[in-house]
Amino acid sequence: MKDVLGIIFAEGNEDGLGALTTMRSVAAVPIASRYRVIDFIMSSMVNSGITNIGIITQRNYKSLMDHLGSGKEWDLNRKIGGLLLIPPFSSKDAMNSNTLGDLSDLSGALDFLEKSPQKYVVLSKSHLICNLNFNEAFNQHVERNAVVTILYKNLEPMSESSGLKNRYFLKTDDEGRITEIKGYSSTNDSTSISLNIYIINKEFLLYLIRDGLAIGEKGTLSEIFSRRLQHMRMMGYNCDGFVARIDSIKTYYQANMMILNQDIFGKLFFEPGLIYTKVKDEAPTKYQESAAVKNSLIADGCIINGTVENSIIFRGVKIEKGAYVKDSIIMQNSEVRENAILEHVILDKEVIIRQDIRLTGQESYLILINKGAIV
Amino acid sequence: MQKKECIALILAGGQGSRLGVLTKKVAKPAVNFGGKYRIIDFPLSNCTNSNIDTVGVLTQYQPLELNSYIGSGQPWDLDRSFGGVYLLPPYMKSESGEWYKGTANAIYQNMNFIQMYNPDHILILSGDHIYKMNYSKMLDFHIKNNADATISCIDVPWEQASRFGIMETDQNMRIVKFYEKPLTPVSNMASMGVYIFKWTVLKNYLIKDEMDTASSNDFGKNVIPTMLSEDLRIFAYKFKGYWKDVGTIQSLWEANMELLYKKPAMNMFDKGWKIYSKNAIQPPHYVADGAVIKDSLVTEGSVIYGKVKNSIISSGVKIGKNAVIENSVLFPGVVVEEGCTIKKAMIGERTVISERCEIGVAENISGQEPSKICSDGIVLIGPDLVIGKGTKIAKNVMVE
Repeated sequence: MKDVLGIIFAEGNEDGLGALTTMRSVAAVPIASRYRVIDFIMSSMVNSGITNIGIITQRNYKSLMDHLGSGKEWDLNRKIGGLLLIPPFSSKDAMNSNTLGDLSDLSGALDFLEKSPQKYVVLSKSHLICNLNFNEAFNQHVERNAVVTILYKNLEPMSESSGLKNRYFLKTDDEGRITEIKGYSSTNDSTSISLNIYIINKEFLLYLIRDGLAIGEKGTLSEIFSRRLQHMRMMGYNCDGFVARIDSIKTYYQANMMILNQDIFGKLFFEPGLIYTKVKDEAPTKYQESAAVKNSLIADGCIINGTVENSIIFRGVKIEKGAYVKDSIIMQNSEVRENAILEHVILDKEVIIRQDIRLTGQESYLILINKGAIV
Repeated sequence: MQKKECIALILAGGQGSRLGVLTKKVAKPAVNFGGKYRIIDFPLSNCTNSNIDTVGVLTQYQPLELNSYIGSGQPWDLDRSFGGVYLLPPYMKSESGEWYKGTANAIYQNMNFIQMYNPDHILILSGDHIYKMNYSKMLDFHIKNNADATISCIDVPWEQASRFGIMETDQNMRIVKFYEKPLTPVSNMASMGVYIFKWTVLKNYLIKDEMDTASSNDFGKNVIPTMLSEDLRIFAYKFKGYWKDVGTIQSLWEANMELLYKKPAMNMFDKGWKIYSKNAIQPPHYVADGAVIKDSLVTEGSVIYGKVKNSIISSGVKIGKNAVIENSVLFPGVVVEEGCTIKKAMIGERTVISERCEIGVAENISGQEPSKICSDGIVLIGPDLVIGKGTKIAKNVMVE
């Protein structure tokens, strides 16, 4: 995959994440005890052999910059290529961003695209929790002489209907060529849901951006591709494997809880590659005499002396004696003091739950406590 | 010319034969410790935290794993453009080349390296101690006393004093006499094997020592006694805190267990003095329904279904259902299958203990000789082994 560069949109679909994204982009939302959302797609790219990755940011990207640093944890601190953060771009003749969709967001990456020697681009949003290898899809892209390849997943059975708003469905012919890209509607009859991961010939992408900027083309990339289906060869590629999309508090919570499943855990973190993240050099977690933990994921640096069930515990969390944490997500450096009870709660970073406090949510009504709060 | 005030050299060439199978393929400083560390992480992290940014690691015995572990030094923030970490094995010179004959000779052979940084002072460390120490305080003490050499000392229990180099000092902490492993110790102030020398002074003594064919080229046996006899200003710096020589299986096991105390003497959770290590790239650890973990340290990548008490579980360890682990240290990647019982054992990297094994339960089993390496009932199982189903291993046995 030497001839492929990566572009990741750090933002989009923030609205549903409430207080989790007031101070950070969706890419930087902490997940699965020690990761940030962007780690998964970025590790997937790196494990596929991509060594040149640009990340397009829009707002509040301090937390993301802090997380990514020079990119050394992903082996992206390179002399040739490596990691490039692309902050918002605006000039007098460029269009006002945020109103015109994906192409104007991409305009900031024009320079990066032009100067990079690679001929192909893998383009994705950051909010997918997955462990993918793009080699097979890329080979298919080249062999079938496609201009764009869209990765999709078969959604069967069509169970969830709530999370399908703003999602796109594909139809392909026998050869795999895409014949239709359509936003979800009540009359939808396709089960191939787009992952919004694209493999694109760089020249075509450059053309789209320049052309789009000139005529003021609006909309998402899916819509833009849809308009050109008849003239350009666009292929679908069916991706199996676990993919969770983070676009609401509910999907965020569900994705964390799904990772507790050992089959998903084993695949998500080890196959086909490892997932990299920023190293914090915490000590191993200490279990004290009253600790009672079951079915939970626990990161390093915690001190546990209470009861934890079906929960996701991040680095440096303290759970004191008599505390009871169930079906909850406790982010970095939060503390749950003696005899406090938490059920269906998400604690953002550095929250303190004082002694004897009781917070009980429901799976359909999760309680979210903001960063740094003392309850 | 650019120069450094103080650079450090870590003596990491020791074979560590008293650690048995644990050092069969790796040098002692590369032996795993405390779940996610290796012994050398302690002096390296101490250097970083003490603002010493130039460190030479003198390797000789089985350096491969140590070399790949240290790499560019990035995990310890020691990848610097002027300075950083260097691995210094013995090498051929124009006339001849030889192994490091002793601790002083190892430094002598690397005088060119030290000269590159033209330091005022040189800090000599050893790669087999577990401790957190601020070397910059010792350096201040050394400079304030205008000392030629400063030896860091710790009070040891009197009954153990004869195992160490013992100092006798005047009221200003200037050393008047140095006894290497005395039979009848006059004090309990023992050398920790941590020295600071004025480089110009040490350089001359190293050259002199090298010319003396009768010398065994050792700091404790030769160089320091010679300096004392010539009335140099040598001071003892009192270190107060946790310090442990982990040269034997028993002391290595103890040092691991001491991390599990309710209030450990060495606080691994202190954010102001972190111990850095190379990250294993593992997910968080998973504790299953039915698992019980008490008074233990568990790190990333482990998956636990069984019962763990008073033990150290390193990265990537798998513990099956109904397995019982007590008072043990499991090194990275160890797999314990269902129904095993493991008591007071140290198990080397990636070893698989198959179903229903009983380790460290029986006092004696015919055909199993207690090992000289093990004591106090500790079972030692080497790395990369597969222990067959239902195997029983008695106390004090070493398995290779």
